[in-house]
Amino acid sequence: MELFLHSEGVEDPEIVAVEAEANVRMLAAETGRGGKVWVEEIDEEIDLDLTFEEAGIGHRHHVHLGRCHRVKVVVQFNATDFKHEYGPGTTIKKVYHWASGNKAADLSPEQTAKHVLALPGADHFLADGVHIGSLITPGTCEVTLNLMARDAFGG
Amino acid sequence: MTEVVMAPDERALRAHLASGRFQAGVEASRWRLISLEWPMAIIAVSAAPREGAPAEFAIRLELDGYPNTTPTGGIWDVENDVSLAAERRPKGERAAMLFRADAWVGGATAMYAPWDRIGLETHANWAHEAPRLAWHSQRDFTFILGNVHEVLNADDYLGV
Repeated sequence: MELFLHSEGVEDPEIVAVEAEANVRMLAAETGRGGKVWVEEIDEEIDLDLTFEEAGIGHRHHVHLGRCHRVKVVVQFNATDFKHEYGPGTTIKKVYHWASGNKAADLSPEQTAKHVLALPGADHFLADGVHIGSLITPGTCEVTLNLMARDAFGG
Repeated sequence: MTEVVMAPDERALRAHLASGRFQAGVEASRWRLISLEWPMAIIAVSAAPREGAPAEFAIRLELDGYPNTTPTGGIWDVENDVSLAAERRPKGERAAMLFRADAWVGGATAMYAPWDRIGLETHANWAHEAPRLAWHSQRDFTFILGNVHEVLNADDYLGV
C-alpha cells in the first residue's frame, strides 16, 4: 500500500510504498531519518513495533515522521504573538482554526475567510493539509507563522 | 524500434502529477486528472455544494514550456469540448472574476488571475501586487489547482 509521508523541512508529503504487515519502525529506518511516527491529527506517537495494520494505518493515509513530540507555534498578527503547542502531525487547517478563533486573533467569519497562514517571507500561503511539524525551524521544535490577508489583485 | 524521448516540459508535468502534493489532493477529492494530451491537460476541481451547481468544474490547462512558461487555462465544457458557456460558469465575487466571461481578452480560454499566463501578461502589476499568487518557474501546477479549489469552496462562491 501507499502512504503520504510528511517529514520535517518539507511542506509536501512524499508517497512511500509499504507492506501492511511491516513494522512502523521501517519508516524511520528505511528513510534513514530516524525519529518517531504520528498519524495525522493524532498527538500520541505510534508504537514503532506495531505493524501498519495493527496501528490502523491504511492505504493512502497521512503519517508524520519527525523528532519533535510537540511543536511550539507562534502566530504573529497585528503586532501580537499568539502561542500554542501541537503534535507534529497537526494540519494547518486545525492550526488556522485556532489562530483565527476567539482564543487567538478572534477574526469575524468574514475576516476568517479572507486570511491565511504563511511562513514569514514565503512566496505562498500554507495549504490546509501541511503538517505543522514539517515547518519547524531547523534545530528547534518551534514554528513562527504570519496570519495575513490574502493578496488582492484586480483592475 | 524508435525510442520516444519525452520533452522536459512534459516530463516535469508528469513528475508533478505523480507527486505527493497532487496525489494528496486526488485522495482528498479536491481534484482529479480527466485527460492529458500534451500540451493540454484537463483537470476537474471540486466545488462546495450549491443548489443546482455541479460538484466539480473542469479546467483545461495549456502547459507548453512548463514550468518555465506560465500555464494558462480556462474553464471547460468537457462533454462538448468547448469553453464553458457563461450561464454555466461559477458565480460569486471571486469565482465570477476568475472565470469571467465578458470581453476580457482571456475570457474564453484563461483565468483572470496572477497564476495564469494571460492574466499576468495583461496585468504587469500583479506579479508584485500579489506575489504569493503569481506564477514563477519554481511552482508546480498544483499551486494553480489549490488556488482554484479555494475559490470554489469559499463562502462567496454562489453556485451557477
